[in-house]
Amino acid sequence: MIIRVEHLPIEENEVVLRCAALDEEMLEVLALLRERSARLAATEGDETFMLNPAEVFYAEAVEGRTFLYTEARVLETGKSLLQLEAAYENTGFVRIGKSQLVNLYRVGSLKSLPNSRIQITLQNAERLIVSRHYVSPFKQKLGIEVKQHEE
Amino acid sequence: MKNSRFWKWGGSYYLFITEAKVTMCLFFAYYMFMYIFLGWASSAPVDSISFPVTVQMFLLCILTGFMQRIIMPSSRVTVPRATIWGAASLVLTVGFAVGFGWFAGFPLWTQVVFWGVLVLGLVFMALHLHLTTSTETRELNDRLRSFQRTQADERRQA
Repeated sequence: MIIRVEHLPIEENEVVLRCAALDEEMLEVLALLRERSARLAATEGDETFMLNPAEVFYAEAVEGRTFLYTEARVLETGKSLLQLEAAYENTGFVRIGKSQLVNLYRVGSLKSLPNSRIQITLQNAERLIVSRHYVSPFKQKLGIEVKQHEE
Repeated sequence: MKNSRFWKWGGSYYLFITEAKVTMCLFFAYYMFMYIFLGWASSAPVDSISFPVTVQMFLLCILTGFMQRIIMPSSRVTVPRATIWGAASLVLTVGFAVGFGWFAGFPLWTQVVFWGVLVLGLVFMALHLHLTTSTETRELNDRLRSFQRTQADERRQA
């Protein structure tokens, strides 16, 4: 694959893929570009924003509504937690409770608690808890081998 | 309906007892062994455990096991709860031993050893809890850094 970068005086960056057929390599490039350029529509008051998923620290479902928490803002999205999980699983989002998803790239530190739970401290110092039921998949996401009895 | 309510109540009661049985067994074994051992080591006029003392020890173990399940259920194991349970079980043990005169005829040092080992066991339990969580915390943070680094590298390379 030839990679060519052209510096032009254009308003918005543009990526053009030229290929005879969409082979595996090209599909991977496409998937990466889609993932990087995917924006999440969210509202704050009357305004609608297109958020970069990487800005989201965590998502929470409250009484059928889904809220996205960035460093200092709370926005609402029309997507359900399940939809967010499916769409952004590969970008570091992981389930930590029945009604919460966290972005692992926004996690500052983790602390194991004696009652088989994990305390998450986000980069903005906010704290969340990984509930017992979700501890095993959370550890697996981080590449930690989970013993049979822990599952 | 009544039947299912009976099984629901009976099932949770049975689970409560079975989850407490490990603690009950451990404490019972400790009391029996230490009592006989201290009697032998101190040449006290006791080389066996009478039936009433056995029943008292058994009752004490049931209470200790139940208290653990109530104060510190597996979903709420914390150092403060472990300390409360440890202190409560210690007070209960001293109460039973003094109240029923378990160490009548034993020299004083045997009681010091009996309580001392019990306290030490509880301290080691808290230490185990602390070491387990701090080791796991270290591993979690190492893996988190590695996850964040690896994914960032993969993106850069792509």
